[in-house]
Amino acid sequence: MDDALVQLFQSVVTEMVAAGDPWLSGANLRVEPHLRAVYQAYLNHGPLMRAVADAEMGQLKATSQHYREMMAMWDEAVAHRLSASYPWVDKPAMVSHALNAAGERIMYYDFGSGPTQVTDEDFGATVQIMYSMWCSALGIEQGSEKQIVKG
Amino acid sequence: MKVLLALERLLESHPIEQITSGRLAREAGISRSTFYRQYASVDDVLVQLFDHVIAEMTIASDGWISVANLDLEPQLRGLHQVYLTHGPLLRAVADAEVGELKATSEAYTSMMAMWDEAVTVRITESYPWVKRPALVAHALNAADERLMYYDYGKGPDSISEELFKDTFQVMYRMWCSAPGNQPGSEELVIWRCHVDYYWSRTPPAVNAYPRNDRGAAVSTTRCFPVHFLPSIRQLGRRPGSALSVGCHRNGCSG
Repeated sequence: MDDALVQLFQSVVTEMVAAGDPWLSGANLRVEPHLRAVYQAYLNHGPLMRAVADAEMGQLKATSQHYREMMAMWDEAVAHRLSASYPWVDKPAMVSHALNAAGERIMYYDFGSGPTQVTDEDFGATVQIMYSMWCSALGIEQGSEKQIVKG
Repeated sequence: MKVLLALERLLESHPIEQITSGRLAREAGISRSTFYRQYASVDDVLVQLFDHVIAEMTIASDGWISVANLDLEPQLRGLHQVYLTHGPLLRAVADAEVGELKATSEAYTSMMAMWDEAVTVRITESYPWVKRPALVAHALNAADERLMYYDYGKGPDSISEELFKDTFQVMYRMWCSAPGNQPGSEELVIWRCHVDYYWSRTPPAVNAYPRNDRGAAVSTTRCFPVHFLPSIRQLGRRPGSALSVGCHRNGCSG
């Protein structure tokens, strides 16, 4: 069971990485489509992702280990992108960790029951809230995503 | 109380699933029969211990929640400090959501829902310009919950003061930016830009920058923040009236 879950999870991680790759790799620095694509991948596999997150507290040790590794990898990838493309962000590792923790939990709560349980409107609203959090944390303007220059 | 304290002590070194009623009774220095006269199960003890911590968390943040004091920083710090102090216990409670401890799981779900509701009310009443306050409250609480779970779950000895401060600051900035507040002043920030804008009952969102004649967002490079409400008072304008803040298409003069 544990092994099967790990393999399923690996395929979803691949999907999420593909969805997030343009932004993570710096090829396309638009945050909004990046978030939308990653969240859509999570939503498509909501119940599976919820089971994987829950494994952290259960007996599925291999799944739990993979989940922790995936979260650490995501934190690192986002922190790297922040450092490279948003150099004005203070403590990028911490900001990355906080944004990912927020995203992880809200997806767990809101998308964990799967795509048939979430309306397009609710999905859009959740993405929008997280997008505004990302923009605030990155010091960029929503929409244009240009740096907000104070002074 | 001896049993509650014993459980919190045990949680510092053991995951909740390894703590049985027998072990807990031994740690508390009482017999199993005495334990069962006071509590139905480990689940029952955990719920009671959690109730104490909820009370502590409520006290830490009550000023902001009840609007007696909208200064968010010390209260959010207080809340984080309570979580850190009881990290292993709160992690066990959060983990109960997917385990066998049904009463604890229910208490945790209720607490999160109550917290979402309380923050929603505060945002709705004190920051009426925030769209979808319930979703914003939910997102902020989810962020806090997960971050605290990861970073404070091992207890106060596992995190340096500096790391605690950094973690807290990141969340504080998030809490400020969600309703468009300036960290430190806790007041709404509006960016004074190159064009006049109008004060209506719903002030523009922080990032809703004015557009130029061609509909493109105006560059923000010459913008600067003002604390909106004092400025309104200072200018003697009333909601709904046109407000010029001294910024024009050719640049800011204010």
